Amino acid sequence: MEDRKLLQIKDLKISFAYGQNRIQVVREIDLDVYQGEIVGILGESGSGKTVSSTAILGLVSDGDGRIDGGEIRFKDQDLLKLPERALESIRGKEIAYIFQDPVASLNPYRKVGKQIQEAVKVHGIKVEKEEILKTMEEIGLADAKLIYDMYPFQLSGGQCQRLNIAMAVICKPKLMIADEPTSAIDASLRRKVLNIFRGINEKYGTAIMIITHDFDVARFLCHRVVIMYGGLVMEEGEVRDVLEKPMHPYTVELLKCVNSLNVGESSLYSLEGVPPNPYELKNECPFFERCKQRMDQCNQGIPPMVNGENNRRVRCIQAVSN
Amino acid sequence: MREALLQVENLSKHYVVKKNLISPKILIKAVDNISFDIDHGETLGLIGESGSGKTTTGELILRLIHADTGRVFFQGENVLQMDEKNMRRKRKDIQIIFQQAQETLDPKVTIGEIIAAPLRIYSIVPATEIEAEVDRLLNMVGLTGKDKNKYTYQLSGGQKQRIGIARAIASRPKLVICDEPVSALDVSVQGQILNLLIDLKKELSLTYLFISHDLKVVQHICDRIAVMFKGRIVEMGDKEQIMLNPRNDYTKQLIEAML
Ligand SMILES: Nc1ncnc2c1ncn2[C@@H]1O[C@H](COP(=O)(O)OP(=O)(O)OP(=O)(O)O)[C@@H](O)[C@H]1O
Ligand SMILES: Nc1ncnc2c1ncn2[C@@H]1O[C@H](COP(=O)(O)OP(=O)(O)OP(=O)(O)O)[C@@H](O)[C@H]1O
Ligand SMILES: [Mg+2]
Ligand SMILES: [Mg+2]
Repeated sequence: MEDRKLLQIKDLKISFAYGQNRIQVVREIDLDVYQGEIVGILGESGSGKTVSSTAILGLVSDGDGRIDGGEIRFKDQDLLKLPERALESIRGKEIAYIFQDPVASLNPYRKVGKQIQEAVKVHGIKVEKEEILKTMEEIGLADAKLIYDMYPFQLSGGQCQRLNIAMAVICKPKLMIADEPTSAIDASLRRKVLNIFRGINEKYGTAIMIITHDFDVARFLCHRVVIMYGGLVMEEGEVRDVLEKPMHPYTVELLKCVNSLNVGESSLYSLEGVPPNPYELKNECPFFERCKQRMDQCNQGIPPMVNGENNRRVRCIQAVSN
Repeated sequence: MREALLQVENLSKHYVVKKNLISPKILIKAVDNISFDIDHGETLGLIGESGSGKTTTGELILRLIHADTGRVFFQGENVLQMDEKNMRRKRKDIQIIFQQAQETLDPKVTIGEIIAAPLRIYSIVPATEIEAEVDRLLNMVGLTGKDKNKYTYQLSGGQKQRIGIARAIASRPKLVICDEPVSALDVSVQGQILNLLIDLKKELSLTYLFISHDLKVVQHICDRIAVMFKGRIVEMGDKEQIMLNPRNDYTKQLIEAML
């Protein structure tokens, strides 16, 4: 199993400077992506999904961010120890990233077609304009020829999002990280995009790490899912196991929310209380305050990960007794 | 009797794009002669293909961009012909939650300031109470007063979106144009925000134009639904009719594609 790991994140810790203080927003992330698999990252808004995945590309330390510890192994190298030059040759070519904010990640002053062409060329990949147009059409940009010569401000949110997707898909990377790639497009395009993801996964063996709030997307596309809360991984396992038999109380609550909308309850189920503020993270389970099944021990230290059958992992002391 | 808060008549916005200096001009009909009403206290859902003109429609109503033709009546007055002074006053009543939260929040200003600005500009509360009102608004969207001193670049995608929502409801508007307000939120916050929007609608008798790709969300919050395709409204009706008995081919395709 070990040698099938394409990406291995170990004990990753990331903090940001706020005035005089540093605040840890990613507290300890362990996460593996196996070759050729599709992993979904779900969880609370602000739990560190984007920050930890941009760390893979070395994009955290640009601002006030700092990686305080851990390891990110890609194939056989630790990305955190690589010089910028070496990282650059990995970015885009071996690991492609589709950013959460599709408009901000495009250069506003350049026509989008040129941008795609240049981005791909930087990675030493030769691609004909025809292929770019074909990919654009495949993901539902019907007027590909026209859009090719337009600027980002002339395009809608969903069109920009799909340009990011096209750029990533064309590179045929080993690993594609997609941060909320379908949040701005309609249901029929969503299906198209997901089918394309599935296609490159099957055809080229591209492993995919997809960050999404959409449980339908996870169910449709992913082999495995990881649930995050408060800068920690709370639960992970095969998609069916986790969505059908959630073990962590947070996952249980999340699925109640999903179900509430699915069945159309007039007042939607939502969790009581607020997520922990990174300013005041305590040495306890981050879900403690909101947990309906909490016990006395739950606020005595961060609960350890418990390994279960079928690659299941749960960060909850209740899981041991269950 | 039905009483329309907003009436949109024959609204159009076309763009001319040239691929380069010598190529012929190409006409993009972003919004192509659309008409619809929204009643007081009603929520109209606007769904449709990506690039079909939904955001443009919202921006035209707010006059963030100029319409080519058409009329937009808000409480009986045509906002497209209003002078700047009256329009500024109207902006208090018509607010928008932007699709691109990041692009529309000033990165140099703290979150507290972003939300305090409309309170100050429209004198919503006395100066001494602004601080407390900002806290209250932050709590409503599931954030806390402690987040006030942060800048938007320090926030996650969903947190930024919630700042956009707090800012939009700060001036206690009558009509809120919600452009994908919950697409960046996790399911628990999403439920919380949808409940909040529904409560606010009752409390402040708000009216929404609700743009979204999420058909489940639209079905939950909207009374009526309009479907856009290539700049036009191709179908409009009660949500039951649209969801259960769609007539237009594109609408059918959308509903069938639900996962
Ligand atoms: N540049 C930054 N400076 C300071 N704090 C930051 C910065 N970027 C992110 N954070 C903080 O780090 C935490 C994690 O952010 P992240 O963007 O990873 O969340 P997320 O899980 O992707 O959430 P969402 O689902 O809302 O996108 C948040 O509390 C956020 O406020
Ligand atoms: N400044 C502009 N110049 C040229 N074309 C434009 C401009 N702004 C928008 N368009 C075009 O108008 C059309 C409608 O865009 P709009 O942003 O309204 O779509 P939308 O329905 O909101 O899409 P999405 O669901 O992807 O957000 C698009 O085809 C877009 O390319
Ligand atoms: Mg994010
Ligand atoms: Mg839009």
